[in-house]
Amino acid sequence: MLDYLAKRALGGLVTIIIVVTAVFFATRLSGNAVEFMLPPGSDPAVQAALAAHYGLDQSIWMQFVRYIQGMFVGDFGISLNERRSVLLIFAERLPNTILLFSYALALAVVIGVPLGIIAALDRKGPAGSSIMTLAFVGYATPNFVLAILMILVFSFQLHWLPSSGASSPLHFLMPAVVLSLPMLAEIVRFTRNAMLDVLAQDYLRTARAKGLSERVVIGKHALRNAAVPVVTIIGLQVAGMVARCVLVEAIFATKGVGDLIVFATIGRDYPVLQFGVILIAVLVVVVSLIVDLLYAVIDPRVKVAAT
Amino acid sequence: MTKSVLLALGAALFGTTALAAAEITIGTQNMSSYVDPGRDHSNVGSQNYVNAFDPLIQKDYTQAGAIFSPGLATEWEQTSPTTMEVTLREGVKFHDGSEMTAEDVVFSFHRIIDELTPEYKSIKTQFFGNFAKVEALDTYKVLFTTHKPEPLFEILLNAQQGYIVPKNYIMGLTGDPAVAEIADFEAFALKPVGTGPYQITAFQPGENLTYARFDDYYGDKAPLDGFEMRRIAEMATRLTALANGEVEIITNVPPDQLATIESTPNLRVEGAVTPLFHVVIFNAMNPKLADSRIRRALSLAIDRDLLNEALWLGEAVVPSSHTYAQFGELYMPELDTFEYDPEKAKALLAEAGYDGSPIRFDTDAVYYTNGLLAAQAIKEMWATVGVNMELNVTNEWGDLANLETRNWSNPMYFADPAGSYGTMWAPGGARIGNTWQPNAAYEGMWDRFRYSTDVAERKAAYAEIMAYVKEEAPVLPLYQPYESYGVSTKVEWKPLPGHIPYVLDFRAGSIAVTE
Repeated sequence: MLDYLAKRALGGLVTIIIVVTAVFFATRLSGNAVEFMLPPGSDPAVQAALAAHYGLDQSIWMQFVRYIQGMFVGDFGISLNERRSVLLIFAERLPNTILLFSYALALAVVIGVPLGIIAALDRKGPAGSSIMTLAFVGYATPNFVLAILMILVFSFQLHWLPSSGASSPLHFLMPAVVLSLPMLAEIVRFTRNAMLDVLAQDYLRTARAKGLSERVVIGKHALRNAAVPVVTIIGLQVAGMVARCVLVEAIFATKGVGDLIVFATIGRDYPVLQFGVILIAVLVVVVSLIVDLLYAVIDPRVKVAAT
Repeated sequence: MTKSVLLALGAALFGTTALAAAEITIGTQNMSSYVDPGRDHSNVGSQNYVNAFDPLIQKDYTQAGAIFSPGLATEWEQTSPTTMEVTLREGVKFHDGSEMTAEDVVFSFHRIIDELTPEYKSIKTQFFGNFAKVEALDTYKVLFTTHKPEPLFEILLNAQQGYIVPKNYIMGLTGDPAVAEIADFEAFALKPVGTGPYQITAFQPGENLTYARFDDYYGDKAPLDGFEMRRIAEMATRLTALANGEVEIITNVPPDQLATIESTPNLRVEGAVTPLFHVVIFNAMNPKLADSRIRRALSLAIDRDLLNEALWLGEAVVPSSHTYAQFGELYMPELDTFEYDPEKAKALLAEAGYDGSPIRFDTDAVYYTNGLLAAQAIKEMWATVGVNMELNVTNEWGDLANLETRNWSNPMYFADPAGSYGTMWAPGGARIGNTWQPNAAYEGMWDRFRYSTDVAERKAAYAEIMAYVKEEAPVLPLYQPYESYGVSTKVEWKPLPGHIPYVLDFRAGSIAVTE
């Protein structure tokens, strides 16, 4: 087990090193950062002085070495736009993204898993068909379209919900619903398919033959075995948290890291952009590892050390 | 550092992200990443300063002209063409509780004059290039000395960049409290302190800025308990927040949204023509546009009145020259520097032997309201005189050496031609030497205009400069845009004509909440 963990951790580290290197050079190819630190068309001499102050006039290799050195002591640099620690900026905003995503994921799981089970159990019935139709609609609807529609109905027309901000749980309701819909649709589809596979297995017929109630057959025997692919898809969604939040955060102005990364990209704020991409990479690596470990917990037949 | 990161993380996770209650909230399109009046001349920054800082000399902002009144200075006297003696108001408190003295005034100006950061160097060039030194004569007396005669002392001492900031507070923010370091100014820009009727209580760069009434303010007390400026970048969300009662004022409303606001109960539109020109720059230093006849032709081919009717519903102002009503005696609408004459444009192109090669026009897709639409219309106007425009939509401002033509803005930084035309086109200005190199006589014209203390002589020199600009065509001001705000009917507020562009003035007499 420990051997497996060490191997996976090493693999994750290599992935992160590749990401750090790629993002460092890619951001610098995207344009001149100093141009965005000053009002448009500022004096070239002032731009040069500012570049020198932030070490942006050094060779790209020297900048890379300095960046890596800083990383080892937990220094991810200063935002060129806000002129303060990148870590501090992310620390302020990450909680909003985590909150928003947690609400959305909870909604998606709490509603999506039961709907997926119902859709499997009533595969050819009206309930199953309706759920799958809704799931496909949910999956196919771009979240910015739904966001604008919800704002128009619940804020502009009915005045029931705030349209922007992050100062109370109510502010997260609409963005969480919008964010949850495609995740919910995916969970419904995967739960249904996994359940259909399991429902066809001999051991379920055996369970029923033993006289177990349908609740125990489905809840204990079928669902547990169907959980592995569902956990995988939830894991993938958590890994993609930041990317999924970008548009929703921009529309509802919930002040999260997705929004931050978009503006850092537009404004060539290299240190913020670099840390954002590294954060996403770390998230993907860590969540993948956790999901693998969860397999063993859910299904004792899976021996992680052997995989 | 680790501690502050953990504190920020904890504060956000445990539900203290809610900002302090504000009496009104303003939904803004953009929010600055720093707040320092001396470092800033951006359009978005103009929103931040007037409520929390004071100049030495105040003015009546309810009218376009210049009527000055005491601010942090109670008296001022120009003792010679190059010196101004200022007597400070006693007992003025900064928001950190310290008293404002002559030391603070000297520090506020010398951080810029001495170029203590690269950005201050830029501000010095555009505002205080003529200032040689600022000295404290005693605790409440300051002497300003300039290199050349200075006719604009009052105007410059009223400018945002000359707002007074606290010396000891700033120098004590980082490192050695006896030394003004760059890090001090960067820390100040995140925790700003002024003397104004509101103090800044919270600032999240790029997101929101919160103000509360400062009870120790020396002048008329602030009419609001406080207010919050919150960035809501999306227009649809900003408008909804206004309709939903989440915010009371929204900024940067494009013309096509005005009817929606007007037709929504409890909302109205307020607006004003802004002292800012959207301009087209013609790079005279690019070989393709080196012949002034081609630049003049491009300028003469643009029907600015049509652009105004089509894009601004006729509410913008199309100028006859580079001049604003705010210039007072220097306002010169009688000059005919910029005209529309497509026939003359065709003749000039033929005379110059224009070979039909494409001329690139750079524009950002969204940076200027109607910027892209105007560029597309100009493309058609140029086509009618035989010029082939290559429209290049980009968010890069790029290397000026490669620039051919592009849109830009030329705001009024202070109420004089030197504070608008001059910021770009004075000798040593931002565009001189990179998109236009005027002749040797130009510097003499400029010096007569800029440093003469006789108004008639200044006007004559400026007319001469404009005549030269007409021949050279380095720039064409398209129009002064009509800037619109969406406002809740429970708030009585409108932009005041005496301010520079985009100022949100909530001082005594400028705003009232009726319910």
